[in-house]
Amino acid sequence: MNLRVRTWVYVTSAVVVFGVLLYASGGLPPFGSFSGAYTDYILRVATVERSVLNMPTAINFDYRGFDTLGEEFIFFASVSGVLLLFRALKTKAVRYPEPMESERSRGQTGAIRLFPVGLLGFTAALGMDLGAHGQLTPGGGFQGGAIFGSAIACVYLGLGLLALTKLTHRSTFDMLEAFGAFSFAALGGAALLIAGSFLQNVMPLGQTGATVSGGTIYFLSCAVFVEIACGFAVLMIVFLRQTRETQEDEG
Amino acid sequence: MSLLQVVLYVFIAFLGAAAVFSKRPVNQLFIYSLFGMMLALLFFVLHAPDVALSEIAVGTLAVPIMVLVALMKTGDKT
Amino acid sequence: MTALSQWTLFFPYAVAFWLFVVGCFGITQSRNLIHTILCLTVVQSSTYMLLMSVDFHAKSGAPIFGSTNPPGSPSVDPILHALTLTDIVVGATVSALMLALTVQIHRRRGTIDPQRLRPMSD
Repeated sequence: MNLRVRTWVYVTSAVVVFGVLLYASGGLPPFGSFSGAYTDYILRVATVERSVLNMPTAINFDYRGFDTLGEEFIFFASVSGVLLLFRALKTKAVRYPEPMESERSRGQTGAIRLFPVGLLGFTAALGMDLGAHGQLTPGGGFQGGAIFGSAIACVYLGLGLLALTKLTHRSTFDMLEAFGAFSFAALGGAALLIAGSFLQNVMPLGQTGATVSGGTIYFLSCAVFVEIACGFAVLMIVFLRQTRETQEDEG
Repeated sequence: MSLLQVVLYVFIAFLGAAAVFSKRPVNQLFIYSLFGMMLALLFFVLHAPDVALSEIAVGTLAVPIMVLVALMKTGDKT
Repeated sequence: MTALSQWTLFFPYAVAFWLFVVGCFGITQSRNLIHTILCLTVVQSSTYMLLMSVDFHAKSGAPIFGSTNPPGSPSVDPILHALTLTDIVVGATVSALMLALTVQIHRRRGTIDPQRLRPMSD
């Protein structure tokens, strides 16, 4: 099928699909007036039952914790897949020119190099703050982990690849990621043994608004934080290492 | 529907189309991260700060860096 | 006036569908696998837009309680938020997997133009 035929097939079918979707949207609640039966129930009982203030966290790590376990495994499998694919690309070890010693970067002043490192501290602190207070304020293990893990890229931006490989140990992040995924499942399994159902909230709930509150919600959020943060850190390190091999190819 | 929401929706519809129709992946990437930022702003306006936070982290930091490295590796001459 | 307000009530859904259709168009036209992946993320975003637009309630606040909105006060639906925020983070790693595959394809086949890639012959 050449491009022209393909375009026409696509355009005709897209017009039909778009029309059907628009027609179907008439069956959705009009914008700004949705109210689900489950919503009211959750909003009324979640704070009383679980002493958390952030409802999405309560749903993620308690009411629908099993779904989160599934999402976690997708995450874990994807990161493992990336590692596997890039391991196959590994070539013989060659000495590389350090990026910051190149001609281009010699003109950079210390402030330009240090600014991303300062950003690293700020971003990592923000990520940890979000991850640790998921039950009180917007945030939680997923967002905090994504921000914390991506912050690793700031080391590369400021100091270059050699610093990144020296400061961060990829296999450590690897193991910590697996540990995070395991502890989520283990906490769920422990609840199964203690209370008879998977991921049941078995720990003391604590006081609403306290830093550690919500029973297992807090600990599950921390486990997810460790997994996501280390997963993103591994992704960043593995991808940024590829920049080195390009130089090797050309040199 | 407030005016801010209308403006954001129109802007997102425009940016999404611009990201798709730009031929050079580097241009597309920068439009895409702007698109992600607008999406985060929209989620914030729609009372979903949690979703906005994860969209900011992913759409403006993690994905662009990985795409840039992939572009470099695949030898895109732009 | 009523016609206009009637129109705005379904406009957000139309934007989500538009992103879906346009992203798919980009996938069919793509000459570069990285372009294809970015188009796919636009399609993904359209589902987030749809979920968040359905979810919105004009008279309610965010589902995070504090001193100004005590627990139990009206709020938008937190269930769809929970669904979406996990999917955004997990979706990024799936994109990373696809990017890694693209790099590998370039290494093996020397091109990432989907129209020039043929089934493996060796």
